[in-house]
Amino acid sequence: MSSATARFKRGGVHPDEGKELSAASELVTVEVPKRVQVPVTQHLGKPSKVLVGKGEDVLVGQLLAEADGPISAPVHSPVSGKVLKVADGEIVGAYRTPIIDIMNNGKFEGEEAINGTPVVNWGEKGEFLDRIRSAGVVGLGGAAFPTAVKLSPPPNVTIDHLLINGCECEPYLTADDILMREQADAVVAGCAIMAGILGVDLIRIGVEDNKPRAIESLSNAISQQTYGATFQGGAPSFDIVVVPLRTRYPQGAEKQLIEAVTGRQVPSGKLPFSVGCVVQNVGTALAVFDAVAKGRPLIERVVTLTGGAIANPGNFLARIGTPVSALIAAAGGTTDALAAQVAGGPMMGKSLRNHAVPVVKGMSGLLFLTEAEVAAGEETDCIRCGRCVEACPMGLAPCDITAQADYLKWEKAVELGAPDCVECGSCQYVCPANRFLVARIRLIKFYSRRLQK
Amino acid sequence: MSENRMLLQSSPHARDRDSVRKVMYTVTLALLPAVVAGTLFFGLRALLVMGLSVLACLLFEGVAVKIAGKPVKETLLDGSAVITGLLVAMNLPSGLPLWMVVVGALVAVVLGKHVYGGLGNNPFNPALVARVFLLISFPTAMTAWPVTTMQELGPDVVTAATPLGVLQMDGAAVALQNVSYLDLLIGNVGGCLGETSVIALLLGGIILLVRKVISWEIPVTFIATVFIFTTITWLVAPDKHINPLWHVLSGGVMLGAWFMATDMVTSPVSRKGMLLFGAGCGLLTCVIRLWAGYPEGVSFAILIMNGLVPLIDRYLAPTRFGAQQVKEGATA
Repeated sequence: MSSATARFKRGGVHPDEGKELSAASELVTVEVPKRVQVPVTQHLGKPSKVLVGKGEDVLVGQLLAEADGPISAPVHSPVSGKVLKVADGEIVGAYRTPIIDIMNNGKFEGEEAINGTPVVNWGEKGEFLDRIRSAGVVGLGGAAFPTAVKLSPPPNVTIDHLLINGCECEPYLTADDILMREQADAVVAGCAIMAGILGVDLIRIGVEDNKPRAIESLSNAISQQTYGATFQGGAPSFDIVVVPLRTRYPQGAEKQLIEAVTGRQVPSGKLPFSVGCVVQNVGTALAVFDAVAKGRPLIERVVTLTGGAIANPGNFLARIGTPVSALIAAAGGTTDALAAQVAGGPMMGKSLRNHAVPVVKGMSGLLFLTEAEVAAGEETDCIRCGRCVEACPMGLAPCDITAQADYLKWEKAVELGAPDCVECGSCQYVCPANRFLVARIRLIKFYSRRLQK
Repeated sequence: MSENRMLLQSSPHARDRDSVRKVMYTVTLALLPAVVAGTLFFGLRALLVMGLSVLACLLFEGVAVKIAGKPVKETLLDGSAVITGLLVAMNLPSGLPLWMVVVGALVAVVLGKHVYGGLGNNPFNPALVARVFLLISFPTAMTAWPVTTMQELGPDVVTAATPLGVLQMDGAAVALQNVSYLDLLIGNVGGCLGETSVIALLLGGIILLVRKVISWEIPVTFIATVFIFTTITWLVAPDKHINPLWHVLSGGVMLGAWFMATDMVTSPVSRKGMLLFGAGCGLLTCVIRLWAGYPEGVSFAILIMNGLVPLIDRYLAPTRFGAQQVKEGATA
């Protein structure tokens, strides 16, 4: 399995993996704090509409805010207790959004109703999609796009592949790895549920070959059929295969994963639907399983805390709304070497400036980096070495695109392909002149969209 | 908690450890074999020319950067002025009057580089701008080629024609008779002080390739084009034209292909563009050598191709992901 050759064809980089820091230790459950702060914007799309008010009592799993429109997702209470207030507050990325502040009474009333013995009744297949939607499941790989929307292809397309993203190509992060290793049955069952919804037979789980134990557990769950233990009513059999992929960033980018596994290229500006594929993350598969088999809404997730400046790196199961400071405490605190902190992976994560921000559905990791681990420094002029062109998995010339930004030529930059950029950061990773290429491309996207309006 | 002193930045937060400075120092390292060969064959005078050129380039770079209001120390340490200095010297005859060397350095750094905004912004290779400037301004001094320390041409002979000069004046037969392949390989022939030793330049080229400072496209297509083009002319008129191996080993092809045409700033950024660029350099070199007034055409060829780089980058941009649809499998 070590000789995986399947990979995306063009570009990419191979940063220091750094996964050994957090991969070895066991999953730690973070104690739920006295107060949790649940933001209404935890997904891509419209913020959800708050349904509760100050002083109201809530149960674990109770709906706090409902989806507003088709591209939105509901939010549920991670604890039982009393709503203290609903007020604007800061979330990761320094955005402000309404946050529901709940005093936890520590009793976890309502927990048993959403944590029973899992049963997947295949006779109720027609309800699966609704359960996923109302459980507030969103893509847990980081983008947090509402899962039910991705499982509802437009009527004019035929889907023949369900691809499950277990690449976890971001360095340092091991949250998906630990799920694949320890909850392979539930992950594969979640895949089967989604395939059932889509009516597809082919399930391919792509995992980078630097996670041999994850590949082994998933393969066992499939070959020994253990994943079907919770199924009732005669689940159909699927063509499920774990595909080991070459460890190369960004192997887990949606378009790159599709190319690596199926050989198909999603055209510029198009969705995976256009080549017959739906892509879901392994953590999402687990959340789908919980939603369908237990009726459990998405109120917790695994977050990797790692980096050279945290005392005990590892993976932490935390309720949504838990402040980051509680996770840091659970990991033994940061060290004096701390130079930068990031929510997400080192390639695409966001700088974290405030330890009071809460865990949200899309938070895959928290990095506490030393000066040696973090890229910093002044940028210098581009020397046109072309390394960014080599590294770009989308076949763009980042040096030329970003040069347009310096002259505010947004339209020209769009012509050169800026909207195709997935902001993976490979170009900037290799740039010897330290240029802020990704930030410039984000500016281009922002201003060119404004021009279109 | 030291939250307030945290670095806040846009992703990515990781970088590989390479830098412009490291790139430039690797190029300097790769030039060392040619520095040694130049000194060996043209004596301490060659070393003096190189040292003076480097010092002058550093001085002019410092002044230009100061005037432009950029950080002087950082710019001088980035190593690019040292490389420009070395490359200017390598493109000069070792006997050139020293003041002309200084003029060359001035032209390279100021006219070749800083009038455009400094490192990264110049369209033409600065060292070649200097060489051509000097060649046109001081044609006699720039074509007075000192004999090498190992050439046995008699005690009174201080200068001699380059192999390509012999070829142009006396024809292929005489050139083949007078210049051995071994001399061409090791560099025991007349010419610019850094261009004669094929072995030293190849060694440097290998260093650049292994350290991934350059990719194979430009040097290989450059040399291959010269080889193929001169094979054709040689086959068509063997009595008139010399064989392709001789062409590839003589003159400035090796220095040009490995060190001048590969200058990142003035060459295309895409692989496809590099292939065309290298082939264009080779083709123009041959055209000038075979049919133009100058015996050697490498400098002009590269400069002309430098001018075409923006166009090449525009029309030979990399293929975008999703541009060609995979035939089978598309279901929508």
